[in-house]
Amino acid sequence: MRRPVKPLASRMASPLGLLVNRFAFAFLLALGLTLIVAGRSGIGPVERTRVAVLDLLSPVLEVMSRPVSAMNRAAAEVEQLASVYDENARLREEVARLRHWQEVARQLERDNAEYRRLLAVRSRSDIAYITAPVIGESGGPFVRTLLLAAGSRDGVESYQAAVSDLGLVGRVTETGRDAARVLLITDLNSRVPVMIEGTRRRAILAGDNTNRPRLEFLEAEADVHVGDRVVTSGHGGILPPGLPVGVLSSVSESQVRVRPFVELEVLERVNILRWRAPTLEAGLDGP
Amino acid sequence: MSDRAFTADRLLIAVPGLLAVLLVMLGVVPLGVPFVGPMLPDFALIAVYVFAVQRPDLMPHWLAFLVGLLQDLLSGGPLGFGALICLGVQGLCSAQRRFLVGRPFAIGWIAFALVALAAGVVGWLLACVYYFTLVAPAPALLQFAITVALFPLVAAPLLTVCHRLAQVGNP
Repeated sequence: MRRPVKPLASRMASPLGLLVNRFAFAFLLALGLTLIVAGRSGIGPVERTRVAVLDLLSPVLEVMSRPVSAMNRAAAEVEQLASVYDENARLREEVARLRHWQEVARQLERDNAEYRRLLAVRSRSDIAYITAPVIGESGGPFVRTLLLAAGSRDGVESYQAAVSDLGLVGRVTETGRDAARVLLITDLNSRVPVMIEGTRRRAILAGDNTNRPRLEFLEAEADVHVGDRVVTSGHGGILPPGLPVGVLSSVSESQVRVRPFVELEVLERVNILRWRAPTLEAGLDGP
Repeated sequence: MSDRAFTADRLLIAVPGLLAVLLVMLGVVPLGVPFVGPMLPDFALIAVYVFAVQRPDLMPHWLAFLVGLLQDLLSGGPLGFGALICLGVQGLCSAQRRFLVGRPFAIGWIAFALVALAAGVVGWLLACVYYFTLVAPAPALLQFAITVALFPLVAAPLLTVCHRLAQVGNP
């Protein structure tokens, strides 16, 4: 005997059903608003739920991202094949140029090591890193984040810096057991202490959800130009100093904007830096 | 109909919810599209719109709310934004479906564009209040344009699913 599935709409057609329906809508509306307020207040359970869902779904996201990254890699390879001759000529030229710089770098390295030894400077080259594949992006207009398939089990901790081979990507804001979230430097909530390389003028790199974050608190009389390099200043002790961030892309009276070195939308993996700012005690214990 | 077929029918009614969840997850997979930044179409909005118009019984308030909430949790955005927007779209579309059901696809597309625009404006206003600043409207406009442009690609398979689901419970 066939028993057709009765649509919910017809079950809800009665006045009582309609009332229940409206009550449910109002209840969910109130719940949504409560969640927004709770999230704004940074209440613990909200953050823990977020991390738990991240951990739960990260294996599925990892599987879903595999074919996409394989396709992207294949497309990139086809693109490279088309320009292999020009690329070869360009690379030969670059190798010749870099050989000269290699000699310069070796000389500077020797000089630097000598000066460091003379001044008893503590080495900063002890930064270890964890490489993590990117399995998700925020995708929305009001937030700029990445999801990584690495978490506390791999040594990732909140506030660590995420970098690519070109420069700073962002910093870790949420850490689950197997997944973590990175707040990109372009996000509205991102604030990174930086300085203009060369002039050493300090500023705060503030994201505003566009691809060109702006510099805040830069001294009005600072002599800066388009093309100047921006690096992390290390102030605040969250990020190590000297990480490349980007170059000034526009300079005007009202605002200065930065073009990040890293193409944030095409990242397949990032490195998480395991770095801690030297504490006063550590500094006193040092050589 | 046998009991097994009846159980299969029962399982089929979960299809819209599962598809919506799948689309939300697809919406955070890094596609590596240059120029548009890490911006992807709002797949959840398309799913909620299509099912709220075609089968509101299979996309009730609570399901639309959960789909939006999942989107918030995965995107890392403020919790409740997506949930409220999906709930609003579901409420609006299921209430006004008599003007949309059985119309040509182009009418549905235009109606979706209006709904997506309203959702974008509400989302942007919420973001401005939440962050207590004038949030740049350009990313929201860009996502609106991408979502509306890709609507047919996502909505067409969903409409096929709705058509198949329409046979559920019918002889």
